[in-house]
Amino acid sequence: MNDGTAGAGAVSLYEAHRKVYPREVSGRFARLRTLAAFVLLGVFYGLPWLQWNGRQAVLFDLPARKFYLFGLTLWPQDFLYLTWLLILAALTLFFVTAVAGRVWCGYACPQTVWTEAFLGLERLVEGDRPQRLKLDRAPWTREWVLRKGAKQFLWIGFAALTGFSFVAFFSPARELAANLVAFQLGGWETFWILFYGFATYGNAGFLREQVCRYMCPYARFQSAMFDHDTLIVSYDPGRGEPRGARKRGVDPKAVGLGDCVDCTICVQVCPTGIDIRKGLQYECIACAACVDACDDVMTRVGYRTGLIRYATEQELAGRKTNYTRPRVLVYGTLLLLLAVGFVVSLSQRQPIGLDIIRDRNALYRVLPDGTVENVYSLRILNKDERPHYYVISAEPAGVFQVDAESVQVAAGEVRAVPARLRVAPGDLARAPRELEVAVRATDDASLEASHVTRFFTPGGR
Amino acid sequence: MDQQQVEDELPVVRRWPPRMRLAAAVGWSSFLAACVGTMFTFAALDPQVIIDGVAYEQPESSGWWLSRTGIYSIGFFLYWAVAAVAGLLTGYLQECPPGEGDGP
Repeated sequence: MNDGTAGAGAVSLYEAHRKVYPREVSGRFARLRTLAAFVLLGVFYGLPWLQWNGRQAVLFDLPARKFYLFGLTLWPQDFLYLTWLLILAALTLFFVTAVAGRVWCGYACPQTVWTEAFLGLERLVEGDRPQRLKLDRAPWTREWVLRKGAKQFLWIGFAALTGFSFVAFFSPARELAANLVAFQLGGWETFWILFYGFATYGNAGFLREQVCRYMCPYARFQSAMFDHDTLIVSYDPGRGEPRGARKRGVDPKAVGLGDCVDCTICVQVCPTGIDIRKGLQYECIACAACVDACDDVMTRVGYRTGLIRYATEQELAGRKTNYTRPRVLVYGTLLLLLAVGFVVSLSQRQPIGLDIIRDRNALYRVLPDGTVENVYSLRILNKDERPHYYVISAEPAGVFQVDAESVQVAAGEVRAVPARLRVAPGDLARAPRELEVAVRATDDASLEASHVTRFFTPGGR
Repeated sequence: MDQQQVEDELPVVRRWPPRMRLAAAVGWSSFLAACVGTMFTFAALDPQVIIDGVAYEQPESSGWWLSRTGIYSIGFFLYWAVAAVAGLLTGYLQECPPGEGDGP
């Protein structure tokens, strides 16, 4: 099918739009955004270098199949926690979106943060918005080549650093750096550094707002979490309209105008290139650059600030915002329950696991002296960071005799151990049908796990 | 300066055509799907099993992909490719629905 048959709905897709040259903005939200960007980028680039107990503090060691999170070591068997964490993150996003709109997009989304960083580098080399516009129209002079070249140099360097830092979360950072300096990086490490670096360069340097516009699923379905009580960046049309230019000191009411002086600064600062005065649009990432810009203009012309502000539709309509609506309560309750459950479960987590399988070949065996024996296979999982010796016991201890060696299990390993439990003929009457088999570390009595299993005897039980 | 003048001073870039939008949307969403798929698969399956299996069957072989990282990576790209094919096909089927009243 050719594109021409896509129908009338597709016509607007061909509409030309203008390249976005976001103008620099200053103000409280700009400061907040810069702060957020510095903190998040600082965490991203700094965390791989942080040490904890002589190892990397945060390392998702894929080659060794274990995750270090400060004092915690997670094995593939702890995958549940990772899933749980992802669900928590998604629910937090829903909750925050319902209450405060797209805070994620404006302040914390990697796309936004890295775009800001790349824009910062661009400003550093090419100057502010008018200078960048002029430069892009200029012929290929020496200055053009130098400035564009310098920008690309910075961008590529920054992207490569980003790729390196990304891989350093999965492969020990210090070794990785040493190998890099010695030109001894592994093939896959090199590949992933380049891959991630290239993705960063493309997304933050070129695609920018197109990612939010065409590729981001959240940008599309966030409207499902919005309602009239959600905080959004909004223009107050009741106050601003009719917009128009006016002479300094003129009372707007006298000339039939609202507070909007139609300076279009709000459009110029917008990183996604929209006009917020047209109302809420899915491209709006709620970065509040237009809020800062408009407050600045309002102050300069001597009007009240807040013509563009964080507000709910209710508030704009002159009603009170309802913060305790079902949506917020449901998201909030779920989030709280899951978060508490996560913390409790993690704090109760034992770095030992035990599984017992009965020998399938025989229910029991009677030894020549009348002793009854059942055979089990124990699987002991050591989730601790160091090896342990484990002893196996069975309750009640006076009845069951355990015939199994104490076993050593290496850190993060699972070991299958055969165990024979015996009951002497005289004790058979006292032997319960169900018993508890326990495994305890010899060097740390708190490392204990137990499992209930059955014991069969010839008595027909 | 009004809105029109502001717009006029900016260079024109064309909006993405539908095919490009589809490719971008599919590329990214299948990437996310591949991340989840890879995570679940390799949480349950240790690639060492594959490496040991190959070493047992063909002791002399030494493939460039025969490492945990290699198998994770290949697994990821396989998932990405499969999810992308599904996404592109879905997009294609959506794009050209059968006409109204067409027989089966």
